[in-house]
Amino acid sequence: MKRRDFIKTGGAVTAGITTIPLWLDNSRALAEGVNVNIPEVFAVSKKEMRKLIGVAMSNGGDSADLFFEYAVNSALQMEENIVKSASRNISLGMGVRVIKGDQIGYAHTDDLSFEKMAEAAKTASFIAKNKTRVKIVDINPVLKKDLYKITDLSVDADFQDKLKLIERANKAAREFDSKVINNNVLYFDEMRHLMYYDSKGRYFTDIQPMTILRTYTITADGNNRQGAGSARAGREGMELYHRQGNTPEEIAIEGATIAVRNLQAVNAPAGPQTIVLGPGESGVLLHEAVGHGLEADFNRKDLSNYSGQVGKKVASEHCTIIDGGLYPNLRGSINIDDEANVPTETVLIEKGILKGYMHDEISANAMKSPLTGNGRRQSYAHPPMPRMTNTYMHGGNYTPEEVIASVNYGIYAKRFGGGQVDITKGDFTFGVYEAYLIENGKLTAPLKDVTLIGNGPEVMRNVTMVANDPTFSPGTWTCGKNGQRVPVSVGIPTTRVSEITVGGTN
Amino acid sequence: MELKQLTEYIIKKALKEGADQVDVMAVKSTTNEINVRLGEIEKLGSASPKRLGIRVIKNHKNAITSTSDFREKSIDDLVSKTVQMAGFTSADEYSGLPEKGMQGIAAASLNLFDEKIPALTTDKKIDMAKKMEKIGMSYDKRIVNSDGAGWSDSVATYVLADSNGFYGEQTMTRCGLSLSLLAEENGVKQTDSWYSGKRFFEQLDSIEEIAEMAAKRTLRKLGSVKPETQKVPVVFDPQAGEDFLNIIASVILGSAIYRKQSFLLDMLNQSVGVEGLTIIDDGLMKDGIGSRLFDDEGLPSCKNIVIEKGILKTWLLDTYSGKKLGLRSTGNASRGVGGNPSPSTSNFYMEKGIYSPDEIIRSVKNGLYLTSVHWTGINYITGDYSRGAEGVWIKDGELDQPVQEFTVASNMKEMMKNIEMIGNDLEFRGSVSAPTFKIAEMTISGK
Repeated sequence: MKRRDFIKTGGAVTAGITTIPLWLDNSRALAEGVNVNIPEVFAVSKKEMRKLIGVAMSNGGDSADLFFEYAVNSALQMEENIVKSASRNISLGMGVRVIKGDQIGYAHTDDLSFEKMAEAAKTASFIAKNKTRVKIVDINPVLKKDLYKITDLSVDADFQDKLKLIERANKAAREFDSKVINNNVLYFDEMRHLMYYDSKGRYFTDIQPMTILRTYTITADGNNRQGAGSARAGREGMELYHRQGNTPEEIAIEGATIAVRNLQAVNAPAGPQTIVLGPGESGVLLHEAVGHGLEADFNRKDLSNYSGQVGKKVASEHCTIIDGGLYPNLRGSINIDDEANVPTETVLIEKGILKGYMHDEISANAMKSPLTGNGRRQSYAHPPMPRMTNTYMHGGNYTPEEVIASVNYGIYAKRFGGGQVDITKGDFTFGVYEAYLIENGKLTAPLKDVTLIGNGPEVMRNVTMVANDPTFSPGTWTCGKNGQRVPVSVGIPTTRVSEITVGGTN
Repeated sequence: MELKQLTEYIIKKALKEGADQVDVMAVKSTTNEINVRLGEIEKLGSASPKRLGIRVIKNHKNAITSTSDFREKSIDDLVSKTVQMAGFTSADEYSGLPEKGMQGIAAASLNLFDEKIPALTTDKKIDMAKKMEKIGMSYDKRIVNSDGAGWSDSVATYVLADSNGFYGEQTMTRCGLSLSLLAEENGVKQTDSWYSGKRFFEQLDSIEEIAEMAAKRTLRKLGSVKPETQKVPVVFDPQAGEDFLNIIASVILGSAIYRKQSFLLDMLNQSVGVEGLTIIDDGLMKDGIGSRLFDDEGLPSCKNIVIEKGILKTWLLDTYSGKKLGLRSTGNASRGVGGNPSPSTSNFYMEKGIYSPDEIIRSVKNGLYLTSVHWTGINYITGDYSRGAEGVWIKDGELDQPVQEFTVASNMKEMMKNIEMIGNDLEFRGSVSAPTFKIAEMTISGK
């Protein structure tokens, strides 16, 4: 399964995302939100951190880092018109990494007594074996971005305010159509308090917020049933749901509309077809077809189908593809990555030419490339890897209408459940749950759920038209790689691909 | 505090603060992880995580919290917070702990703990991973790279205690070896992997067997082509079969039924598959990866025949989904420490048939031997199945050309009724297991 890196949205509300935390000793600090004194949360002095780095490097090594995390999340779930569950989960712990070349020792503990942390540091130190004396640099804060402007803090918001959001979404979905037979709503939020210190003296603290509102609606017409959902997510607070396009009613009706419309869906065709990708969510194509293959760890190890291709043409000239963690409030945005590097706007492909990879420190050192700020980890229990943040494609010259009108017979793919890629061969799939036939330049019948499959570089060479409507998907994308999950965002303008294989039955 | 005392303390405190019912789940584990690549250690990882979850029911309202912070003051605050949160949610007449009389620990002797695993030295683990990678890399000169060999092991103690007075504790070990290789021919790279995971060290496949399988699976993909679009019989190998069973496992759960998210809704006691199709969930399988003495609500594990000779006999239920459907729990409650219980499978498998895998392949003149599917493309409500796939084309009863970059599509309801031959090669490699079987016709979408 290791090669099977994937991205997915949360799927059904009922999938069980109910693991959520709360602070106990520091509820006061939390209530103050972004002004919380993070070193106090962890109750670890700078002197102790220096000592721990000393233990971590007692067997040598190139560098060592400490990553502290205190995460609190909360969730509310409505099903069958009642709030069935409230949950709140707390995770507190720290991880120690020792790097020697491209080797790492990693240990973590959820007990922040000095003794247990020193034990973890000792365990991580075993990766190195040459007892050279290592200089430990004193703490020197690094500058980070300021991308999450929270005006309406969510984790400690009034329960009634969250409840109102859920009730509004539920009411809107239920009242949308008489064919709606069930509706679920999930509200989730999280605050991750982070603190980092390494043997180069680099130090930062950060608070990463996240909020999600998701609906899933089930419809029936006789024996025919369907289900579909919609969601919004971002690194912000409750203000997300006040903006036009993101209100609970709009989110619920979006999902319910698809669930009702799909009752009329027909079987998709089989075989290669011309595809028009709708703006926003279709960005999952870039994530799978291009993104994973350009994460530098796979290239450093010569495992990717893009290895050794920098400077070569790997996509059509219509394609300029970027990864950047620095856009305010997007789900994949970060003020600083998990090894103290600020995110950059990394041009991966420019007019079809491969420009570079996404790096963490190990790959940047090994490949002698500039850092890109893509070193991310799921939690304190995981070492960083090169990961995408927000991956998107620049707009072109056509209007979306022109792109659709150019197709005689094909498929318009609008909403995606997720995707998967084999990085070595480059074959990827993605699942579509809202799609339409295009006949004579017009959208016609809705299609049943269908999977599209293609080879990354081949599909990117088949991009023949790009519209002027680049859009980020506002949904809840989560990327999985080697057992670690991180939030990301995807985006794309309306795009025509001359041929992708469609997994229908007709 | 020991886990037993800690859970007793929490239950007492929560009741005192106004909870009607409470349960506590706690897990303490030790995990080790080693990755080796091209003869060098890539990663050494180790940890001893712990976590506990508190579930409170008050006036039929439900709340759940969890934490990794076991300090007394933190626990005290969390208990109060949980009771307070239970005041926020809606009353749900079906919520609550199971009836006391239904709880208990299965009177079976299950082997879940191997004392050899904690005693293994790091050097021995590194040595096995290195040797296994070396054997795999030298299997064929077309194998040119490795994505690494891995070792992992864990020892975990699970505790469940509740205000009914139930207390259960079980300690389980696991260990595993995996290898991922890369082969190249005519400028095209292919990768695949193999693994073995067991509760007992001695039961692991040998490093030679794992290395050989990883190499063969990788080499088998070289020269893959994209097949023509057509309708043909499809032979599912045990890995593709595991995916097929996982889909069925998701739609026979009580939670999927009361939520109406299942293509088998309303099909209880009706024919859903061919007569040869029998699917069993057995929580008491000896040495089973999914085995346990009691479920996550303290009900004894048992064996349930889910589909018997094509007839759907039971849903798999926890207490809540059982009550919603007017039925009793089948002992299948499962929860993460910080999540509410919901039903889940234990050891879930398709009963073996009478044909050898060779006989099944030989019965196909023109068709697909399906070896791997991608995860997207299932609609659990309608059963629509459209999955990215890999395999080997069958020509005149023989495995012929490897195939990739295509989808295989049908509908699960039809597929279950169109199983034609079931193999005799059932092996329990994980918690979901299937033998080789053939489905009469599916749509291949390729060229």
